Amino acid sequence: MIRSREVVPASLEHALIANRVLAALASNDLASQESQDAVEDGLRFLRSVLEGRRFATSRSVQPDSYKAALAYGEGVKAFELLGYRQGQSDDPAPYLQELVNCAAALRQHAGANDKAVQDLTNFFRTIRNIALASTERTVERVSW
Amino acid sequence: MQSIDQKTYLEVFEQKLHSLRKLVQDLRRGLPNRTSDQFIQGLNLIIDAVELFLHQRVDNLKAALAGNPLELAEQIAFHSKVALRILGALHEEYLPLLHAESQRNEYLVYPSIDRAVRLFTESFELTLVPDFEYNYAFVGKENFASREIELLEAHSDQGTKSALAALRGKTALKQWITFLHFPVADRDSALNLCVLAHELAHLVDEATKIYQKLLPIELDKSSFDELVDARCNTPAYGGITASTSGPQLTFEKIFTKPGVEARCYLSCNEVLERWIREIIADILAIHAIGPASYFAFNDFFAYMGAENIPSSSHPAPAFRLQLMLDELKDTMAT
Repeated sequence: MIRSREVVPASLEHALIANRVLAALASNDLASQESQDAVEDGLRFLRSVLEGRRFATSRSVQPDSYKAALAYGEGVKAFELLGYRQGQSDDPAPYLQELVNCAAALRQHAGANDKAVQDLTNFFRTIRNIALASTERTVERVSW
Repeated sequence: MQSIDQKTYLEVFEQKLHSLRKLVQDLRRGLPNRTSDQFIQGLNLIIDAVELFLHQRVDNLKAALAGNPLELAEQIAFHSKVALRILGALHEEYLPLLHAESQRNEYLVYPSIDRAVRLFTESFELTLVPDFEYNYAFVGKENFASREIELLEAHSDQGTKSALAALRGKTALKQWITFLHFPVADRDSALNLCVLAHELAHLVDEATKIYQKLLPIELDKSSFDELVDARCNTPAYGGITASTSGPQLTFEKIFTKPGVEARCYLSCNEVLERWIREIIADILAIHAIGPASYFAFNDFFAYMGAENIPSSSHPAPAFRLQLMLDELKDTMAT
């Protein structure tokens, strides 16, 4: 039996990323190095969410697919909790892609409309809460 | 003015920090000299890093958010929760390793295991942990402490980052910190302890990344779709209905089909990864010590009364034994 014990589990790292993105968005100074680094990490996380979706839909298990799938799972949970599916499709891909576009625009100082920034803020706030409360990959207790 | 919440969070953190340090100190006192030395140094390093991380972050946040008390309170609460979760993980998952080690009687098997590990790496600390639970297990951490501190650095402001980097640079630990658990009941049986070859093989797999070389693997479409459909149609917990006379709520109605699919994929991914790692360890053990590994597992499954069913962490015992036997036959034939 192999026991996995993470001091800083991936979900906690996601919470830290989400918190930094929220702090950057609230700072009104997206040009600072700290904000840019935060948005860059947020963008990387969002891309990992989309990558997780690709893995899940193709059912392909790869070396990094667990981490990406975990990010995707949190992304879908945020999509469900925020209620974007009401009256729309259940597919979270267009919503996630819009978040990526918004984060990429902010990263390139291109600016984004207020609604897109608000959606990005809501998403990362939800991710922060979900990830902080997560208890993924606990120690196995019974097996052989 | 500091709100009650901030103060409470910080006080809880200080109490947890104090009790954790005390526990590590006490457990260390109960251990034989130099046992798990590197591991304990790593634990203390992480505890120091978490303390530094929280204190520096709080100081910097107080300066940066002086005009925004609500945001300051939220940020302090968030960082305290992160710090508390890390300390909690150390307490619940790492300290028991020190506790169990005090029941030592490993001098019979330790030299052989030590010699075997040195074939793969010189930079390691190995601790054998006799366990009252009838089970064998491997726990291995590569770059223990420095990896965790680097993670905190990545999410810190510049000042905190530099302080954490300086702390990390103070101590150089061995590359691998490992623990092998074995049942106390087996301590005098040379045959039964052969299961340890399997546990050791987990280290070889981790160090040489054999597992990754077997990927990618595609999950079977029809059985995966069947699983997703079954989950989608599973009634919600407690037989909740949309209204008193309405239809039964299912997972698909509460979540979404992509949501259910994501959860199923995550579970399958985890099961597949674990099973492959177990099979790799079984096969490596057969190649390392031959029939002894096969017979030891026969005894092990019999003594623990294992049912012949797969679990989320292991394939079914009969399947594993058959695989070992096949591998053994191939080994003998060549």
